[in-house]
Amino acid sequence: MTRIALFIFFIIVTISSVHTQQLTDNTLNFKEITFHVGISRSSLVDKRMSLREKRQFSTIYGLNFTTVKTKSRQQLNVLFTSFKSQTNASQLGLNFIHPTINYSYERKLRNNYWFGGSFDSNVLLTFPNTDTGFFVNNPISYTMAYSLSPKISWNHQTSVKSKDVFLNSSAEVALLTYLIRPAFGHPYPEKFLEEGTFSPTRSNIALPLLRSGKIKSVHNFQSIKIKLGVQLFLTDSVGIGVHFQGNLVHERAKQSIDYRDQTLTLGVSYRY
Amino acid sequence: MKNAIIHCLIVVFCFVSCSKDITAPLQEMSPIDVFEEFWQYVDQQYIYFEEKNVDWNEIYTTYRNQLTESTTEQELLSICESALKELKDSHNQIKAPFSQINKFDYREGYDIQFDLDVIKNNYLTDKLEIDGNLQFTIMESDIGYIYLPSMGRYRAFPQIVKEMKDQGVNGLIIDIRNNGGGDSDPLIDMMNIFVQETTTLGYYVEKSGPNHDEKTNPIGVTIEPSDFYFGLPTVILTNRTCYSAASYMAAFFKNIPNVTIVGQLTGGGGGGNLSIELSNGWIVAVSTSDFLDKEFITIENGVKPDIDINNKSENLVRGIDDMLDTAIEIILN
Repeated sequence: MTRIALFIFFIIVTISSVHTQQLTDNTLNFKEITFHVGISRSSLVDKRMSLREKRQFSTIYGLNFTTVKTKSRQQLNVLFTSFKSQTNASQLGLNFIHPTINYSYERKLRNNYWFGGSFDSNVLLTFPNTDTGFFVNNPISYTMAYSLSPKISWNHQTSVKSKDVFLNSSAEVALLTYLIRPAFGHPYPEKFLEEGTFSPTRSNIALPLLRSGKIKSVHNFQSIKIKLGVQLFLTDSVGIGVHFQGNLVHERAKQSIDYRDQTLTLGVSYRY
Repeated sequence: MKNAIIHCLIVVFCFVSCSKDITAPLQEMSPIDVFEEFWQYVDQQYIYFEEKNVDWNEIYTTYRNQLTESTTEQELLSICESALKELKDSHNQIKAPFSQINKFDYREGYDIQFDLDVIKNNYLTDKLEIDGNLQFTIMESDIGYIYLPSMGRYRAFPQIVKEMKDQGVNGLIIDIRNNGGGDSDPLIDMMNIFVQETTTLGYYVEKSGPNHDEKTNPIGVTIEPSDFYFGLPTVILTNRTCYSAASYMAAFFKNIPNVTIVGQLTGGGGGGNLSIELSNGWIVAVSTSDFLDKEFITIENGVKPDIDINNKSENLVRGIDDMLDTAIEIILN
């Protein structure tokens, strides 16, 4: 994975070196939609299921909507990945679903820097995949993290053979998170385990689930997102790009979750 | 441009530092480390230490002293199994890839006499019909008979009972002998054909923290009557092999008017177990929830029948099921 990161880095440096003329037209108002597809390398330790680290490569799909104005911009980014591990006699397989939605609003600072905030919905669902007869009563573990983060971005516009090239990077660190995890000792959310609410058939579990979250500060729950990308516009409105994203999610708790992924996607953008 | 390069370098190296492995590789786990992990998981999750008056620290000392760095995997598994068996709970299990599960046998010390063929050959005129795991017929004396060998694929139960009533049965025998359990969740939605008013079936208690006494308050489970009410004498046949979800079923029925439990003390198994994979790939499961009857007594050690009776082996050989005879007598009288 280090190689992939370095590869992206060299692409950026190379492209930037080809044409050092920095364009000044950063004041365009436009909207952009980008479809991504790529690979994600995930690493997961969910101590409600397993004390072992599970690693997996999977396909990832994404959609990004961007609205840029002279002094501000908004982005909505949706990513989805999942994997189904093979049952293996020597270890527990885990199936995994990971949809994320990220909305951010930023104001333009000097020198191509942007600063703002983001709302991030990070859902991790894990399902044990085993034919041993275990995990009958805990067939799922879930982490639903809704975070508010400051976001800082850097953009650079240049050109290669008269084609516009955009370099961009950003970082987000969650400061406050509404975190929903199963209550201790069982897969149910805490608010479901109340007289008049609990049902062994799990009927009407959705609302107690949403009410069972806890506000976590950066001290108890860390969520970091780093993005890096390069876009080459083939025409005024159609571009292609390579994007890298690194995620880290860590809960500081007895039955903690540690999740990291590194994602490399190819994107096709339409600007209008 | 220089700023851009520096910026990219910072971002890339931040990312690279995040990809470091976060758990120890499998081969680095010593037998002692595995045992510690196993012991701690059970210590924090198991719900019945107080009810069973078990000193888990003492068990730690006993079995930890048997371990050395050269203890083999097979020996370690055997030690963990023995430690778990001290808790006398068949929901507690440990599984290694190279072995079969070896768990506490709740039937040990009980005389279990049951043979479905005796019923088929001596009590039934028609063959048992089958729907999922439900086997059912109407006996000669117009008594509905349902045999449920395990708690799975039994959702047709209310419909079968309704059809039996439509055919004019005098009562119903639900035979759950030798039923080792399964899924108890659908039961709640099936019991409502036996009640005419809101009825509490019992109480769930869940582990709520790592200390032995950290549990939720009892959470009542109630059912509402359905459109159809069976309302005829019903007998549940149990024996010691009825475990877990089958014990739940017996415990639920103890709260229902017109229902008599006949047979042996059930095998218990009031706990619901949760599983986890240890760092060495073994899987451990322990009970983390409990079920209390209407008197707030755990069913972990079994549900007592209203009429305690067991089959005699010499009668069974002659084609007589004493427990079933008692059930028939109750319904006809």
